[in-house]
Amino acid sequence: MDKKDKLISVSDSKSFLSLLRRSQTQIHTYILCQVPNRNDAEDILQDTIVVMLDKFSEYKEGTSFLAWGIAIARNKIKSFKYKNRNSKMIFDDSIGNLLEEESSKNPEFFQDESRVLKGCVEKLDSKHKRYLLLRYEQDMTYREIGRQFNVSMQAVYKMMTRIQLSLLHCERLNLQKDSSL
Amino acid sequence: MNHHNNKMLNEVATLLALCMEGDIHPDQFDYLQNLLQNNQQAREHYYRLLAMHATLQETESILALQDNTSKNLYDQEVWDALSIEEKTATAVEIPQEKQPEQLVQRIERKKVAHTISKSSRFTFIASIAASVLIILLLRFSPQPVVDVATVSNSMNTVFAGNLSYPAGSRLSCQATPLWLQKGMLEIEFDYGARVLIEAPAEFQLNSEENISLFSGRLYAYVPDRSKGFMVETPNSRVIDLGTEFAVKVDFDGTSDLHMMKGKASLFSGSKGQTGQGQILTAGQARHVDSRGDIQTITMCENEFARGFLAGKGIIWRGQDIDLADIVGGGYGFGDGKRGLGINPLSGNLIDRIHPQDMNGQGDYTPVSFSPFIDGVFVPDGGQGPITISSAGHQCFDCPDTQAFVRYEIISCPQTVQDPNLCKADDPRPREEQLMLMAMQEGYPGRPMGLYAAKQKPGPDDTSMLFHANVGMTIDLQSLRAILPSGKIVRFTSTFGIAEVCPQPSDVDMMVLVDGQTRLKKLDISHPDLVDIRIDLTETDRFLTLMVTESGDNGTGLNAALDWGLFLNPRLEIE
Repeated sequence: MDKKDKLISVSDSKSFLSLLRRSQTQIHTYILCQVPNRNDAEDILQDTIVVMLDKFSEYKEGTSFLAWGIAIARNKIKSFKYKNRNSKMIFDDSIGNLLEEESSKNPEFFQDESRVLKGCVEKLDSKHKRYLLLRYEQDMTYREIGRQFNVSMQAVYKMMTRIQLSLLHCERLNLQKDSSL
Repeated sequence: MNHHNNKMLNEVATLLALCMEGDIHPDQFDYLQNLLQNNQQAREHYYRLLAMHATLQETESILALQDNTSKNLYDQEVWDALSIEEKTATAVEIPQEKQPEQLVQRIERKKVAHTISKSSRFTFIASIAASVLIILLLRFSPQPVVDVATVSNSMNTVFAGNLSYPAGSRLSCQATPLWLQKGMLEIEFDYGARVLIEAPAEFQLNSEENISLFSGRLYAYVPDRSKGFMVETPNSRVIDLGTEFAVKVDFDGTSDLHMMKGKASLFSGSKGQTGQGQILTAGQARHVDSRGDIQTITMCENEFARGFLAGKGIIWRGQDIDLADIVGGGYGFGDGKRGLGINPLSGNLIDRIHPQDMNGQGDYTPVSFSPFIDGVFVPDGGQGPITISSAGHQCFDCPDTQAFVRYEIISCPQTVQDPNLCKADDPRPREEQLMLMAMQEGYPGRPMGLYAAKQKPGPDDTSMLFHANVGMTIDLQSLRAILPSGKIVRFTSTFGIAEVCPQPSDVDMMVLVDGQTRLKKLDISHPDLVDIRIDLTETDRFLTLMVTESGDNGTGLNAALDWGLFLNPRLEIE
């Protein structure tokens, strides 16, 4: 059986999936920080996961799975930036470093993020939830969402910005409440 | 909320949204970059917004069950503040939607850029637990009947029910499968995947990125932007990760997957069922049996139709281009005729070999019967550089010759099986008699091989007889134009003296690309074999093959007995 054919054991695959589910959002965020185009970021995330699986035997139990995943993602981002080095839409490395600092400030942030965000989404009215569903569940572009609601793309941009900022505001309030308890 | 803070928040959120959607202008991107470079708060907002985006994207439960009316209205103060901010903030330019032009017939095409959807990616991640029984996580919602693809090409198609789908027809998600009884169909999905379906086949389009194949064969080209394209069969499904692959479904419902390029996930089991999952990479093939077990099988490179020329009835199955077939009037895929050839003086296709003493005048003669042969010539470098292409490329180191030639360039020459049939009173050389008896007089013949080769050629081998002094230039660009995919990467052949050529004999052989000499072998005689392997790039246009006399073999006419033969002259495609 050649290397490409190799299959991981049942227990390994379970533990990989378990670790990945806990870290995937952070790895995705890390990639988005450096490559803020959703399609490119998802491609890099997929490539990162394929490498992580391939090299899972090299991962040392007890060490940070997230840090290991981010190191792999960093290489994938480097490779993406090199391939697209002539593009004007690539952040300077200096920005990448500053954003990396930002991501390392609150390592516990993501532990509460989904719980708090869920609570905030619940407070939205149905129309705003529908916007989020179309965007994040149906994976629609803003243009496609505009067609669904029969509104212009500009209106979708404004609406989505409002929803995101209100969610951000809600998150801050709730995270502050949690920390003061 | 602080006004200045709000303004910056709004800007970062809007610019980030433009960036994520791919709508941002370079000036806006520079502005965002400056903002992030110089403003700590902007970076923090940016990071929080992205974290929220990733959380919404990755965490299924946040939105999945939340499509009900909200229990509480949102904090009105926040909405009011945002609303005021929107009215007072500096405008951030958002691209305008273009108004549709007035068209005679409106064909709406959806966005092409696409990656694996969220649901598909969850399945992909789960599939990584390859060989483990998993519950497939894909959610299948009923699809509305909408146009999802276009017939980009068709050849002699016959559908059950007298249906007709000529090139240009739009195809919608169908409630019932289509039954292609005859012919070939090429479909381009609105998300970019291109699929060739070969009759007989039963299939159904499910969405812009999903097709069910119930029986038959298909070949899929899936560009990077269309990752996530899915082929479902009765007992398996393939989720593409940016590849080329072929799927075959037998009438018993079992299926085969052959990966030509890239990688894809293969799951056994029909949708909603428990199954196995594997990731396949290029060169691998799998069979999913009736129990849903996945087995390794041998990859079939040239079994599936990858392209076709509708007007010519030609199907390309991934095989290399055979130059001997082109000399025989074909397209290089086995549709030419053996025994035909080209007159090196007139450039005309000839139906059989005509031995005759001819003298070249130093002209380069265009060939009109084949779009792939640029021209032919009788090389003689004694008067200086010679022209070897219609674009004016010249060969500066062509050997000096007598500009004499006796045979046409012949595709797949033959010789008689029984050499004792030779007539004693025939004044022609014995070897020429053997060839002409087979090729002109209808005596049982066999393919002519190389004198120095250990094995005689088989029925699949092809060759080109280049009797000195002849040259031929192939137009690679014309060939590329008919290839549905793939690149011409190499010219390969084995060259030597034909097996029945009278001795002694020797020739010079040259291979040139766009006038540049890539191979030059002098004094090739009976015991010699030359393995030719010339790498080609996408910008190479003209491939020239040239065989010239070499020295005096004692006949007084150097070229009289110089039978050069290219065995299996192929243009390799990757």
